[in-house]
Amino acid sequence: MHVDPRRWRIGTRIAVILVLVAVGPVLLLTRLGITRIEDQAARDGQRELIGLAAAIASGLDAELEANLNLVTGISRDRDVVVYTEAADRAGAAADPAAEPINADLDILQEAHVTAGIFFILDDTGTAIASSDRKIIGGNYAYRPYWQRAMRGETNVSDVYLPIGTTSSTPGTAFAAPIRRGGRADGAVIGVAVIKSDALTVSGVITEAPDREDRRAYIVERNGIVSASSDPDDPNRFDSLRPLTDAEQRATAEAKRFDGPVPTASASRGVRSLVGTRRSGFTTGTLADEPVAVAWQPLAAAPWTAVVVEPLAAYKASAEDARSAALRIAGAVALVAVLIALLAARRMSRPLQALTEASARLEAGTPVDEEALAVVARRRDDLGLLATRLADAARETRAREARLEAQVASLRVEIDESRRAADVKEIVDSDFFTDLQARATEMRRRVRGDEPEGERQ
Amino acid sequence: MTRFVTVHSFRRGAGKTTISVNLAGVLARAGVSVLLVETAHRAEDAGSVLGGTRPDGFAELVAGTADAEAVGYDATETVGSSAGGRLVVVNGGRAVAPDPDAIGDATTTAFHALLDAFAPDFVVLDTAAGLTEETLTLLTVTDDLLLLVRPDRRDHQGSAVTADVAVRIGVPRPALVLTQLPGTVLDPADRARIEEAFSIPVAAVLPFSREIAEHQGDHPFAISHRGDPWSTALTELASALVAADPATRRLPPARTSGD
Repeated sequence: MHVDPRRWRIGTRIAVILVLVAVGPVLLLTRLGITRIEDQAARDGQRELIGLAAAIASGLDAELEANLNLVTGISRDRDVVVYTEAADRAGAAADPAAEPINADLDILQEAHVTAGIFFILDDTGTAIASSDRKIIGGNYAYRPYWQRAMRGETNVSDVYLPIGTTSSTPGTAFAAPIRRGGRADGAVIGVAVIKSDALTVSGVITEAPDREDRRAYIVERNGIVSASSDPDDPNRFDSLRPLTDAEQRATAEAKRFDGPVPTASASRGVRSLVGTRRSGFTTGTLADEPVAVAWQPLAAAPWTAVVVEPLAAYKASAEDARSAALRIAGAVALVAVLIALLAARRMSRPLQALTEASARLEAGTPVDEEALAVVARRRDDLGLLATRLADAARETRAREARLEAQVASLRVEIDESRRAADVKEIVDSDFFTDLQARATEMRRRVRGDEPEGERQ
Repeated sequence: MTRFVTVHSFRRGAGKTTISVNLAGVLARAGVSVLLVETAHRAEDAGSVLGGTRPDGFAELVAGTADAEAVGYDATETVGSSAGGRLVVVNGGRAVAPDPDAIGDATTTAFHALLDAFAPDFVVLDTAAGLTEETLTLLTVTDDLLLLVRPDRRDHQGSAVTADVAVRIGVPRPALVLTQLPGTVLDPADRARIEEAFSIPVAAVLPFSREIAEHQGDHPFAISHRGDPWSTALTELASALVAADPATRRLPPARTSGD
């Protein structure tokens, strides 16, 4: 259908203009508002995920610190230092399992049920005392935690998988150097170790996610996902980035895995969290799933607490905010349109009354003078126009009444005797008599139907 | 057979020229060959309404100083005839009419020349007001007299005399055209009264229309404003004229109101 606004009635024009004026700003503000709301929702979503990662990191740090403090205390214990010094001087006792130090370790284990096994390694990596007698005599020099402790570092190991015979569960070791004489500058003569059940670590993770669609990970310094809140997580024990040959060799030497560590497919953004010392957020893919990822590095260990959420779930809150904003904007626009239409109606009603009145004046049909009187009460130019139209309507009415009266009195104005006299005067004139006598001939001559010979 | 329709009023300002031009236009548009003749010189004559100018007019033709072909000009374009109609206009001219004793002969000769030149079905005569010797001469050749009467003017005495004289001189169909009335429908009682007063029938009732007075188009009002009540009444009058004489009946029978 062809729309020509030039042909619109003034009421329609006013309505269209008012609606545009009313709705335009609403739409503009909605557009700006939605952008802000989406940005805000995105920032809120990031902040929430990073906050969750930070909470997990802080919970883990507290647990790790507690175990590190405990193992540091053991390494400085006078009995432990003396026992280790003796072993260093004279070699291991004939029957280390019979040494009273083991009973001390048993007491510690009973006091810290969740901490796991307490044991002491000498400067060759051999277990010389343990709350678990089975491991006494075993050599753990290949474990990086012993190597680091022998260099004087109190440290937390990475997570070990149960591939050896030492224990049947994944575990983490907390190791502290035992120094000669218990002095801070004494040579390292052995290592105190708490072998913790890895489950105690992942317990913090397991309980961390507040929603089912969120997962929490611990990612080690080389990108290996050593724990997940989801026990069936296919990414668990995979690496977020391919391990270097050296790293693959190190994990093999540390007997951490039964073979090379596989790589989980992760987008560049997700891989960027590996080894970073700052908290962060990104969106990307993990095992081909679009995800939002937030992370927070731990203080007590070279690990990173990570929270993973499906991207669709992450965006849902922004979508919710957006649709809420749209609903509000729609309601506001509707109200604006209604007000505009009411205002347009109010503004155009007098114009319609004037148009109607002028159309009726033109057509000669009766004008609604009451409607005009209502408009005429206005003090603006419309009121003036209405007054003039009302005057015109009154004039028309008066003239018609006059004409009708004249038609009715037509008869009265003819003086019959004078008429007869006037007619007689003309009819009796020579001119008329002559004309009448020649009338027939004249009519014939005009039409040229006289005989041929008379024709000029 | 050519029909002479004379548009006349006793007083000036009854709308003779407007009605003549529109009547001629409507007839021509409907397929009739029409000759519109101004028989008196006027400032606002049919020629100026229809946009045609000629140095000479009917007065020169009657005086014998101009040919019929020279004074008549074709104005068919202004009425947009599509049915083979034709409109030729002759303006009033400037020359003084000849000696009253010779006026009859001169006028009949002039008309004969015009009929010879243009062979119209209808001649519409736009006359000067009043009841002069010239009027009497024109009435002699008239078939249909349309005597315009305005109810709001005190010219009824003269109009009544004109009607009587027309009857006496033998006009076959004299009729009244009431102009500037409030509407197009006349109360039957009023109609009867008016017809009795003037002794001739009412042929048409034309309503008052401010638009006609203000009309300044290239076409006659009845053609450019076909839905207007005034135009409708005038068109019905034209149809009635055509229907009145079987010899010239070409338009469909008129549907007259108020009969």
